[in-house]
This record gives sequence, structure tokens and C-alpha cells, in this order.
Amino acid sequence: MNTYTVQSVEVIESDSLTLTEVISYTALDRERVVDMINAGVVVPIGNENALDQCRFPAREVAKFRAAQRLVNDLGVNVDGVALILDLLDERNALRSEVKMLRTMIETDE
Amino acid sequence: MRAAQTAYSVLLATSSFLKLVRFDEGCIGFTDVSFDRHTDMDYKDYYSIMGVARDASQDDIKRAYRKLARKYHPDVSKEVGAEEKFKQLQEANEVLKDPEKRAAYDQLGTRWKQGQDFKPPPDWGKGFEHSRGFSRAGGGNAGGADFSDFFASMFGARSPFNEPQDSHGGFTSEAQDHFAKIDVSLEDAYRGGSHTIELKSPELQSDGSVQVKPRTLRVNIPAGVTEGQQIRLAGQGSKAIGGDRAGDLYLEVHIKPHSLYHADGRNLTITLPIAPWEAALGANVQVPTLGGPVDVRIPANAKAGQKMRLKGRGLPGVGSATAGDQYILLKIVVPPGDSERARELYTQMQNELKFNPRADLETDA
Repeated sequence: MNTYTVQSVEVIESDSLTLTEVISYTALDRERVVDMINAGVVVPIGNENALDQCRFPAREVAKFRAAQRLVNDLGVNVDGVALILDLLDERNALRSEVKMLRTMIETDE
Repeated sequence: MRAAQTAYSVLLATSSFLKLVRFDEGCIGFTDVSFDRHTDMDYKDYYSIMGVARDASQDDIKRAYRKLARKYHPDVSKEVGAEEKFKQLQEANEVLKDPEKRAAYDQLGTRWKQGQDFKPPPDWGKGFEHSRGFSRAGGGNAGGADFSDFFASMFGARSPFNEPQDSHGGFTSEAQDHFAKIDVSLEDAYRGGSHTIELKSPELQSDGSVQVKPRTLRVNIPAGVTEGQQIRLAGQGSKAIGGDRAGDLYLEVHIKPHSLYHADGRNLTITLPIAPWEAALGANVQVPTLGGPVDVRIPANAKAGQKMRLKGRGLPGVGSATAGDQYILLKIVVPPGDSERARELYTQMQNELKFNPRADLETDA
């Protein structure tokens, strides 16, 4: 099998994506994205009553996509997804804290 | 099936390839094991995958799917192999939830065992009136392209269960962007480096069917990528039917767990073991960082759990972002009293230090 070397590699680092850019990066409908923002899946930077003037950190794009997968696969609504993602964030933070604390107390024996 | 799963985990453990775990639309990827056509054509026991009896009601199946989907959903689950289990579960559900497909599947009888090499019977699909072609529910994955060959041969695009107009699953008149996740080691996130990515992408054939084609991309991941970062590979998505312009491929970065460092964005934390006398007296010690060891002064009377910061020694910044820091978490390791001399020294400390570690537990009562 041939290996193709990709020349165009762009890291999307921006903390100031527009709503239009978010929509294009997530390949979701505008309506769905707005729905998710209103449910609190992602909290935009700026006035939430004027979403077109708001900005979004690039890494939140992953959250929109995860939210869509959860809607599709588990049949939850966007409010449920917002809650799931919040709890997952909390769980992951707790897990990593526990892991770090364990390295403090565990002995090599 | 057991063999297939073992091969999968071995690959995960040893492969230097990036593992692309989850795909959203049209593009699939994970390790090379998915190209093992033989293994993939094995018989799939959908009832055992779902954990239900062969005579389970449609409601039982629905309940079993919901329960297992919550357990193994890759966005939620931390279980080893959740990705693969969830995929199998979706495939099993695709067949069992549909009474028509389930009845056809049941006709294969009980003589097949999970993982057995399978050939579809010559009269497969005969006698069924197909009310609709196969299309994936929910729209999360296009065309079921990530399902097993067993599934594809029985219920896929070329099977009697598919109607021609439905076989374009996921293909439209517009160029499409594809998404995939990549696992990047902390070392590679620090230095940047070339990664080889195995992808499977559905391609539309001239006869209207969809064929999954493997392809390999080499990508230079720049230094300083962090968890959740998005990388765009322009023109690596799919083309529109008859079109020239292709969509883009987006990679979502996931940082692999590291044995020494814990990453939080660009900041790293390392647990540094020190001896009790180093904590008491202070010491100059060498601390590993991704950029090489640095000398650090431990202050006198340092305590376990104390944090120190090495500014700018975390993951490098990209663009306007500044480099992260490396934190040092002190851990005091007590030497064992396993020799005559060690016991002498401990006894001497016991007699001369007058140290009571339980002073706080003493009450007035």
C-alpha cells in the first residue's frame, strides 16, 4: 500500500473561532450547534444573546462532536448531553487527581 | 473472536502507529488488525454480543442495547477495548433490532459459533420481502462501513438487504470533511514528529456500491499539540460524486498516558521521590523533563505533597500560546530498616529526636 505524505498540516490553535467556523469544523447544522450552546454543552466567550459575535476556543470543537455522538448513539437530548459532558469533565479531573495522589502514597515494593 | 481481540490489544500495546480510534462520518481508522479480512469474515454471534437469549423479545434487545451502549460508549467509557466492544454492539443491534434482518439472521441457525470462518449460504436473503434498504440509524457512522465483513456480506451494500438507492450511504453531491482521533505520545507532543496513520475510507464504485479502501497517510504532527487539539489536513476528506474538490480530514489529538508525567493541557506534573534527609536538610537533585534533566534545589524542611514549579518546562507553546510549566510533587520515601547499621541509625534517631508523629491525635481527655 502506498503511503502518502500529507503536506498541509494545520494546527487549529485559535481561541477565537466564530460560530460559522465552529459549524464548518463540526459539520453540524447551525440549528444543532445553537441548540447545544443553549443547553450549555459549550459556553461561548461573549454575549450569548449575540452568538454571531461570540468566540469559541478551538478545542471545544471536540465537545460539539462528542455531544453529537452521544445524541446519536445513546438517544439522549442535548440537555442530557450537557450534563453528561460536565460530569465526564469532573470525573476525568477526579480520576487524574486520584492517580496523582496514588503515586504519592504507593511504595515500590 | 478471542484470537481477534488478543491481536487487537497486542497491536495497541506494540504498534508505533497512531491509533485512530473513532470516526464520525465516512472515515474509519484504527490499527492494521482491521485489515485482517479472514478474521473479520468470522461468524458473529449477535445474541452473545448483546448478552440476550435467542428467543429474547424486541424489548429485551432494546434494553440490552441501551444498557451496554451506556457502558461501552467510547466518549464515556474508560474500559479497555470499549471502542471495539461498542462497534460490535452497534453491529449486533443493527441486525437484531430489525425483525426482518433478525429473522434472516436466525435462519443461519445455531450451528455457527462465534469466530468461526463463515460463508453466506447461496440462497441468502431469499424469501424476504425487503421493505427498505439498509441504512444506519442515527447517522453517526456512514454506511456501516466500520462493521465486520460478516455484516457487510449479509446486510451490507451488496446484500439483498440493500436497495440500490440506499447504497450511497454518506455520499452526497458535496465534498465532505472527515474526522478521526489520533493518540500522540507526550514525547511526540513535545518534539513533534512524523506519524503514520492507517485509514479506511468508503469509496463509491462505478456500479453504485460502496467499497472500503485502506490508505496510509504520513503526517508531521507539529510540536506543542495538546489534548483535544484539532489538526486540519486539507484535501484529505472525501470528494463529491464526480467532483474534484475534496473535503478536509480533521484529526483530534489525544495524549497517551505517560509513565512519568501527568499532562494537563500544556502543564506537566512529575512525582519526585526524595529521602527524609533530603527533605529535612534540602538537596540538589536532578529532575527529568521532556527536554532533558534539570538541576533543582529542594528547600530545607520540604514536606511530602509540596509542589514546586519549573517554569516553561512543560509542552511548548504554539502560535500565541506560551509554553506550559512542569510541576514537581514531592514524595518522601523512607529507607527500610533492613540492616544492622540501618536499625542502629533509626534507634539513634528514635532516642535523640524525640519525634512524635501522632502528637495531633492526642486529646485532653
